[in-house]
Amino acid sequence: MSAGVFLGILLLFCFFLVGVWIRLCLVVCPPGKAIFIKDQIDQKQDEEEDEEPAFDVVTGGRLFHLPFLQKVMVLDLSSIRVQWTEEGIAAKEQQLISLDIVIHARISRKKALLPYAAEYYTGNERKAVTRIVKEVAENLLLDEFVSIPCERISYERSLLARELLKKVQEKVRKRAIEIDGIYFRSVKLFPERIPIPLISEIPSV
Amino acid sequence: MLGIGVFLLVLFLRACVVVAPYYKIAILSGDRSLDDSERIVGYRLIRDSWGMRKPSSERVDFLYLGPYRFSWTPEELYCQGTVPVCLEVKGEVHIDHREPVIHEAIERFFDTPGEHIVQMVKDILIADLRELLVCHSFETFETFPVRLRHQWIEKSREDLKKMGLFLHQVEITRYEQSNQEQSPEHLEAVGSEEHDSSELGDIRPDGEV
Repeated sequence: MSAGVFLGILLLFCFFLVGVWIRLCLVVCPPGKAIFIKDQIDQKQDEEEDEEPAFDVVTGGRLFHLPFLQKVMVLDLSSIRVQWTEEGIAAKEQQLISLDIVIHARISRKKALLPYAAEYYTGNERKAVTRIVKEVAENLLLDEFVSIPCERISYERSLLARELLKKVQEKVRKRAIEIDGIYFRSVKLFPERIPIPLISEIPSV
Repeated sequence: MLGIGVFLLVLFLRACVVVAPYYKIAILSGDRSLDDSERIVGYRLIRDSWGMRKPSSERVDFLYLGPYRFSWTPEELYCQGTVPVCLEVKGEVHIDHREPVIHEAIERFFDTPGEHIVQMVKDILIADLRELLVCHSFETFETFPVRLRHQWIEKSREDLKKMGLFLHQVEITRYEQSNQEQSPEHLEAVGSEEHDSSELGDIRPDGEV
């Protein structure tokens, strides 16, 4: 084998290695996702200093990272359907009702909010979003429905859901969550009313 | 030697060419591009055609455009005056492939199973139907079913468009006044003497009572 051929093969091999290295370093962000790079060394330092690590979050395109030194994390931004039955909501005249609620939510794509979302939701997007949305909606339902007759809640559920949507949206916006819609699937009566203790039964201080 | 060269070239071309079938859209992620509303997105789309991708820096995914068919009997529907109604609904929806609406669908439904999409569509359709029914008596519904169906479709199309979906068609295959006694668990007080419809008042489409 002549020296020229050997040099050519060596050159090709070098090109191949460089190509593999570039491919390893390149991360492509799939649609409906956000990616960010966690610097593992800096992260340890940050944890020691009790500071929040800074992220460069990208919702599209590609990023270069250093394998073994940096870790690529993916955040799912697709729609999440949250459904649960809220039992024992007090309507007017202490009548208890149960509501089957559906909420369409997703993690916000706004650039200013993405680092927050990356920090708090990565790895358990669905669980975290479901928990926050449920908590906020539950509290608002308890506040709002106490003055509305249960018949009206059933009859006008779409309109009430639309009103609730605006309030929930306001509350969760800062937590990097967007709400697409709130729907009350079913409204049912609870058999008993809220037991109100008689004045004579309330222990005196 | 020439044979190997041709074979490698064919392999390379095969890896670069992306063909999108008519019922799918090819999403090439990696390069940032501007959509029709001047918004930066991290992918480009190939629809009803073919295109070339950069094998080292672009990944290819496909999004099924539909149709997603559904058929169901929504529960707890009330016409004006809290008259319970029973309906059977059939329809189909697909992902709107027009710019810039398609990006809303890609952001929400990429990698999402079809059942999940159908379930979300049903949630929206039933909410819109409830809003519409509450403004009309059952007699109006019986007399002008087509007109009401059109109103329903228009309203639902607007709502679904925000999510990047297009309601292709929806049909009410059966409608009748349902028997409230059959479902004792539901709100018994609705429509009873104690709380008749006059107490609730007439509701206008804008939500004012």
